[in-house]
Amino acid sequence: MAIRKRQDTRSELPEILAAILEARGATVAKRGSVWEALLPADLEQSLGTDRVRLVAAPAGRAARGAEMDAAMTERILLLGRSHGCVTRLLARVPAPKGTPARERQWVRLHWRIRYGSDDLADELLVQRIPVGPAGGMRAPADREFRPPTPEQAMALAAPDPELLAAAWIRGLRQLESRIRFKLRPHEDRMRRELHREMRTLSIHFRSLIAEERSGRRRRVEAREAGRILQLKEDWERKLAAAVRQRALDTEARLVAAALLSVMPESRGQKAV
Amino acid sequence: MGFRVGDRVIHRAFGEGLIVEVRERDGFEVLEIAFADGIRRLTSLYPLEPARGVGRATSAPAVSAASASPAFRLGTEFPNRGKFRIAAGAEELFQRLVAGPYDPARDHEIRLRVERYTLHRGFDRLLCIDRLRDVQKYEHQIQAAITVLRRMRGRALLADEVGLGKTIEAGLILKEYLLRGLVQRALILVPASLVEQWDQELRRKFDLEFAVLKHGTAWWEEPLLLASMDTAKLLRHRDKVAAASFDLVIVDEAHRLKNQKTLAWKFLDRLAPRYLLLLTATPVQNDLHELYNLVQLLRPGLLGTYRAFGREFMRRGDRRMPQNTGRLATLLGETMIRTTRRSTSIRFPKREVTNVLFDLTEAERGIYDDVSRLVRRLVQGNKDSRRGAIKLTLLTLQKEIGSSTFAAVPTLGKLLVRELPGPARTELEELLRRARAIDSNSKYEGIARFVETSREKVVIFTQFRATLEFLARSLRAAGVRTSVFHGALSLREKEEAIAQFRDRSRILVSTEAGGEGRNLQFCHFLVNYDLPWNPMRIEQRIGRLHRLGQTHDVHVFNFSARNTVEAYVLEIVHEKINLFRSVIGDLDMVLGPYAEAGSFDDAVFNVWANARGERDMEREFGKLGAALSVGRKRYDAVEELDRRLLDGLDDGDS
Repeated sequence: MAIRKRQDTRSELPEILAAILEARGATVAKRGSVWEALLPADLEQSLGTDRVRLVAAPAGRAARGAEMDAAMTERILLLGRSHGCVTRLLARVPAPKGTPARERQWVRLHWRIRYGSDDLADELLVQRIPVGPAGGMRAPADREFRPPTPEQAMALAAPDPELLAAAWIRGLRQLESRIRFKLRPHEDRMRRELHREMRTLSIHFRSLIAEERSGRRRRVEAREAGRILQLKEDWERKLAAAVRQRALDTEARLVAAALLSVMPESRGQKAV
Repeated sequence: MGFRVGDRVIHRAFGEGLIVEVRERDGFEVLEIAFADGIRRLTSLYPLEPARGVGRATSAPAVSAASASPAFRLGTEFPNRGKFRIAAGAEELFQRLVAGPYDPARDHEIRLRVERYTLHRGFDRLLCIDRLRDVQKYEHQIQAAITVLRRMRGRALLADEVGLGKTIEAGLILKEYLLRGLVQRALILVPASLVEQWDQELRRKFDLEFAVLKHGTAWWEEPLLLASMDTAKLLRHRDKVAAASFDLVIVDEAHRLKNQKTLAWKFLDRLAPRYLLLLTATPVQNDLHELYNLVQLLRPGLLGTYRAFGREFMRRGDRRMPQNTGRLATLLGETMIRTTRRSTSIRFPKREVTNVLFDLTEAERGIYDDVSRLVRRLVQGNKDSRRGAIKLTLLTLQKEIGSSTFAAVPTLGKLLVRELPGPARTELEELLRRARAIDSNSKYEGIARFVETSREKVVIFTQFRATLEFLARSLRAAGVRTSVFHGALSLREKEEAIAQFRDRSRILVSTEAGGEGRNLQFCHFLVNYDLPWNPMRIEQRIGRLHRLGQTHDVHVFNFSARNTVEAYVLEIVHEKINLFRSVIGDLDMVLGPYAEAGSFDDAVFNVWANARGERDMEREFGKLGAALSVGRKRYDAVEELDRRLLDGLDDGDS
């Protein structure tokens, strides 16, 4: 299976939605930039309609603000996210010279990481971890992997639970290091955000600022300055608490996993 | 000892651990072992013992998750350290890798595509930030871009005060959309005088090549197009532009779309792009309905119907003053971003203002007074249906004679052509002859003095081309390197004029065509050779120099002759509303009371033209000034209301 490298874009949204519906049993027909999906009974029940029309680039006044029915889009996307998580893929590659041609395995984990609140970036982290010693071999590129045929699937070795457990632990440790590293820029960003809010608060002191700018003498200067200082300290405390909270709120969610089997083949053997 | 991945071992100091990686280096086995406190890298020389009851892993046949080895208890292997958490269900999902059931590869791919797609919707981090060149970015600009991208879904009115970088904000949004592939076709509509500047900024700062609308080419097929609004809306162009179906349209100086009945507004409404950015520092100039019309383009129906908007949000009898401000602010907050200078921490340089009053020469005074008398007589005496058109001509004439006698000559000529033979025609002929006979201007002395005593670059603004040519002629005759900038220059000539001024000339003489959007921060002396009666235009002039990037205090010299309209206007805008220290945003409400009577220009002209004697005029101008003072106080009260409102919102948020 080829994992698309280019970014999915808004223009691909109808295509994604159509693929989701088709995978759930809908009959999809495409005419130009319009997809028509006739829904099976179960989908009709869950989506509340028997057919869905997907338009790639609507134009005109009616399309303003929402390219499609936003609620329907979300519901279909939810279907896509609730289906298909674990799979098994096979790649056949030429065996390196002088090495025994034996099957090797990797796990590929797709983590969705949410840093604190929704204001901070989600990311999709992909890990490729060898199951057992890889013997110096690197995992082939994603485009090399295909779903195995039933015969091939039967011939593939079952993964070793102990080795798999080790891979899991290793993945989690890597994840932890990465998140610890990634939090630093977010902390900085958080600091900047709060300082900006602090500046916004200066609206309270507009008169003072206006007097400063106009060069006039400030009234009750010391008192105002003291208040600003107090405010600043309050914000620093809030900052520390918020950063701490965000660090605790960071969550990694495993959205998909694949067991990758690599079958080295000596030259002359027929590749799949 | 021959360790393998999956072996459980006991270390004397770190306790029980799981071997997760075995490598060989220089004849030693290097082990990565997951202990309770993290992964440690050790060589096999360390004293390690196999953990009791757990043997080495062997290649085993397929086993079900339920019958997996007790060692495969994932949760127990990873103590929660409080730094982050793994969402529930992850372990179960991973366990399915042991024995399935596996999902079809297509479902798996769809799942990944959906996950990747949903990542794009956040716009939490601007991808374009690292790809900008030569751009001094400010936090408020980045936040504005994020707000437009995330919350406003690409349809927004960017109404920052002059000089805070609306162009940069629009560029950030445009670049972000292009990078994310959400926009394939973009159109930027700007005043004709700004096309070249936008083109250069897009190239230099955002690395974007926009095609400029050119006659004789299939420009409408260009995916990225930059055009002047006036050209794009022409009858022969508008259908092609509308058919091109642009994903994103940006309109600079969008206050020109304030009227729903104009061709420009209708044209933009017809374009109906998916994303739309309107840029203006003055969304409201005379009437709150102007704001309604702008919002109507962005979010039709957001503010209700035209009438309902008036009923709900405009004070009866005052088209500038809002009511129900809380609800209005909430609604506008959905589509408008307005950053004020006060709300940023950016330190703008000061404005030093000097008003220079001149005495007209006897000949100039004579012709000024005679023209004023003529204007008054015609305004007061003309009651026919052509009054509106004549009034506009007379208003222009009065402004021109306030600028210089050179500026008044063309309009006097036009009036003469219209006039039938008679005493009025004779009078006009006489005025025209006297105007043509004058070959100097008393205010020029101020310029000559400045040129002698200072080595600084200076921008001289005038409203009229004839005055501009007189100034350029006189300065060049005095050996001063002078550039000129006016609306009749081609785009290339305009850019050359700015470049020449930056690199070689000391003086730039510019008409209003140079007053919109052109950056002249490298200069910090400005002369208002004549004063526009519209305070917004004055602010726009000053804003060209007094903006981000200006490192010096800006010196503004206002020239006016005693006992002229300009002297009165100067007194009002300087003394009564302190315009030269204020920002344009403040002005909207200060001028509010005059919405009913039309623009501020009209109010000034009406006082001047309808005055019955000097005392009467002074009294009327005094009333005008007093009303503006009231407007200023009223604005302060509204500002206080805003402050209270914002404080309330802050409290609510926290």
